[in-house]
Amino acid sequence: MRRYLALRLLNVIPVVLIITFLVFLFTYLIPGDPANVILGPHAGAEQLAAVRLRMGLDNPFPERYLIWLGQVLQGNLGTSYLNNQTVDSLVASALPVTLELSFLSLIVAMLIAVPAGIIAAIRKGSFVDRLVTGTGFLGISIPAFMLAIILSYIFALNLRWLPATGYIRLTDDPIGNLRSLILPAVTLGTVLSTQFMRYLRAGVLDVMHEDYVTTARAKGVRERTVVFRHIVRNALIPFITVLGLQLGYLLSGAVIIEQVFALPGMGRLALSSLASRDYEVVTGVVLIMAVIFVLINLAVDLLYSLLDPRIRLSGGARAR
Amino acid sequence: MTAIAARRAGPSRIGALGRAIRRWRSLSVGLTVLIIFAAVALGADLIRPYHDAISQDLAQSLKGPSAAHFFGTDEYGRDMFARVVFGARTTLTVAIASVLIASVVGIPLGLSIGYIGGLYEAIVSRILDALFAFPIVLLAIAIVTIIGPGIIGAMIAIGFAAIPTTARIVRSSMVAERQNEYVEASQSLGSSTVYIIFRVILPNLIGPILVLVSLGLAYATLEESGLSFLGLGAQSPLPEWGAMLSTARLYLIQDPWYAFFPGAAIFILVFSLNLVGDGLRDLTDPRRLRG
Amino acid sequence: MSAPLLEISGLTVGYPTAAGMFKAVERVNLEVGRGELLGLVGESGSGKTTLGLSIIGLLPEPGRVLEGDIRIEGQSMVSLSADARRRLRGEKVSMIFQNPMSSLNPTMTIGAQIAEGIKAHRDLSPSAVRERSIELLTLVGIADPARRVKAYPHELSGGMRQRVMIAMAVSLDPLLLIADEPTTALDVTIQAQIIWLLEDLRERLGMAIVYVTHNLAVAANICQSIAVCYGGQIVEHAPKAQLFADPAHPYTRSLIEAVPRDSWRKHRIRASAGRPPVSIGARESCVYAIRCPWVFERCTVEAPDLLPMAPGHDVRCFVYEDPAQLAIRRPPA
Repeated sequence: MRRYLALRLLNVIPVVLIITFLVFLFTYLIPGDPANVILGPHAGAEQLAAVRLRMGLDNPFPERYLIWLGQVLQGNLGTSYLNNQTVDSLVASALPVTLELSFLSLIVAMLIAVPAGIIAAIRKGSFVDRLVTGTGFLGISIPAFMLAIILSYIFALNLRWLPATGYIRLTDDPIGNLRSLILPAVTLGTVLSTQFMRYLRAGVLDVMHEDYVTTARAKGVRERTVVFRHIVRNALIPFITVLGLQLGYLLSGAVIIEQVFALPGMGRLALSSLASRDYEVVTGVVLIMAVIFVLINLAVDLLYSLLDPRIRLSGGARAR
Repeated sequence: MTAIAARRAGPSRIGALGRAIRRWRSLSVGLTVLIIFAAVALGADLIRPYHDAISQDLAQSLKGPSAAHFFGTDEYGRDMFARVVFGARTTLTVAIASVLIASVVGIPLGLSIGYIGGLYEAIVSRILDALFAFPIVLLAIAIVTIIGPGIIGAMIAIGFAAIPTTARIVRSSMVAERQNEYVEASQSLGSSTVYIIFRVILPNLIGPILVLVSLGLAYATLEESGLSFLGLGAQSPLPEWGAMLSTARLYLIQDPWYAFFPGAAIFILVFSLNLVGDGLRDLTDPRRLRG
Repeated sequence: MSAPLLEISGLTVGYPTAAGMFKAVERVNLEVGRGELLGLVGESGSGKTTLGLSIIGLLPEPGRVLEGDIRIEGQSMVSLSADARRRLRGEKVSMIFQNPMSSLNPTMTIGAQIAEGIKAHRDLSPSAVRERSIELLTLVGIADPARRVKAYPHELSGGMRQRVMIAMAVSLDPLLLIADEPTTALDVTIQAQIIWLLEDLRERLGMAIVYVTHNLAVAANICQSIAVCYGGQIVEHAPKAQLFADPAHPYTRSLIEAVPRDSWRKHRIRASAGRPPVSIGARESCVYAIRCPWVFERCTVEAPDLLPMAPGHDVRCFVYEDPAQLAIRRPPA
């Protein structure tokens, strides 16, 4: 376990460094002179040179990267030149929205997928199985934003049960907050659940035919116990890894869904900053999202190793 | 004699045949729809002149389907039928190009890390992990920031985002295939590593790679429409389904047909690509044929 | 006279397929007495594992009993409800399997897996269950049992895992243990230990064992009687000495001839040429007719029954129903 933890943590460091490098490369490749952007089109050559010197823009690439990295590591992501707010504070207000949406979507997805996937596998070939497999197939063929349009057409525009757009902060009005997130979370959760169902169904089908399931039945254990203790539990452990891998899809989907429902999350922040050429903000959002992705995946792996005694006790690396 | 003949056939083989036919059915339905879409994309100009897809007629804006405009008109009075037809061209171009990018980079990477392993694999894997950490939309935002919005940016973003997945799947096929004795035989004959990877092993991985490509196309189509929906892909007036939906969303109450046709086009295309991918997977993966 | 421990009569087990009903076990009659050690011998595909699984009521889907009955102490298993059958499993009949590496749940400690079987049938306190688990591990010869109950399967060797499987199987003193090729997946040195352990437990606990194997030499070493399976049928069933002294069925003869006498311990069955037949639909010939050196007209149009040719010695062959044929076909023993 300790060896596994150490290895896993050691893997994260180079990945995060490569991410920072890619993000810096991105800022470097942005066309236009940042000094020009700051000073506006009418700046004189001397002014430009001064700013360039102050910002270290004339330094060689590796040096600029290291200076930038040092700032980022100190938690300084720069300043929005649009309104002089720090990128940190912009991210701090947008990130909770995205995380809340992702978290609620994940819950919706699990609530749908876990029972559906398990029942479909256990009653393979039944009507329920065909229903689950069929809707799962439809689900992977529909873009999240399309489902968002359909659901908001029905529940917001026609039935008027829920708001079509907008976000109310949890601290301002918890009920309103939930109401403003129901449609987005159901949309994203449903799309996500179709992927989960397919993985879970396949996972349960694999485990169902394991020898130890027959052993449990041969002991005279109740069928319910066989299903939950032996089949479902062993099928859910590898599924945790799927959760980690689908995280990118979840965050990407969250960005699109934020746009449809006008939620002030990271995606909307990035898109509006892009529109106003506020590149420091774009950089900050991209960097933070990528690092969060890596960290959540790390957490998922650690959870996995805690649940699987083969890794917990032996320290062997898990095959990816 | 008939009893013996029946015995020869055996239960498993007959069952497998039945399953194979069912798989072929989904494969052929998917392929048929796909060929229709490809034909529409290639021959769009024969169906409607491109002029129809971009010429505005504000007097005719937001009309439902009619004899003159099968799919109705958009907010500028442009013919939605022509726009949907030409949208197929945009979407398929981007999807194919991005899968091409992912394959050209991802397949050799996956093959080589799967075959060589060791430190080389560790380093490449960390880079792939890092690339995998960028959600596709943010990757697209970054690329659009650098090269400006348009379908080129969408191709690069979708293609790059798919590299890690492509490489990992190819790698695991390679790791499994490498165990075979024919590989060892070729090594003992002194063949070069490049020769073994590409001439000896690669032909045996065509099945999984075909599956990967068809499912990759489905995924790329979804992503392409998503990026255009966000305004990061195709730019007006280029006809593109996701972008059409993005505008149609504003007119849902007045004209739901506006959203319906591009939406249906995306769904049917992705659905048929998934049918092909699933059918191919079941045909090429003996493990799944059994169950 | 009380009912025998296990009585199988006219058992046919089938799997529906696209081509019709595939009969994995066909018209099997078998009796096993208390404390008896019966060897069920046959090549792979002969239906011996399906027979074992149907005794314990664990036929894999979509298999089902088409005809006949399985009775344990006179109680019909086939007519029982699923839950009543479950209550018999572990309590009266238990089973161990071929591959101990995959037969234990990797995410549960072996203590929990032993306890689970006990708790399914007995209302005992946790400490009593724990004590019993440790006692069982001691019984099957696992050192340091108090520590081992907390171990996970992957921490044990294959031989140890099969011992744990045996401990689980005998935890409630069953009357009958079905051992399905219990040593096939193990190292040769471990095989003998496991066989010896089973034989020892049978004597100590007084349970009967149906020992399923493809290895005639192993069966010859430990079993009191042997049933030979071919193509889903039992073609011969006799006490061990009788079977080897006077093998009646041509298939049994080919099996015995295939093993040089001085090396029975080392050699597995060498199958006769060709593959075992697959039977679909109604049978209209002897299952062994295609490979049989004694085959005559009747064998190709009719299927023989398992009939006694001597007390306790049953054989499924038309030659023994026809003295004229017997005289021509069968060389003197």
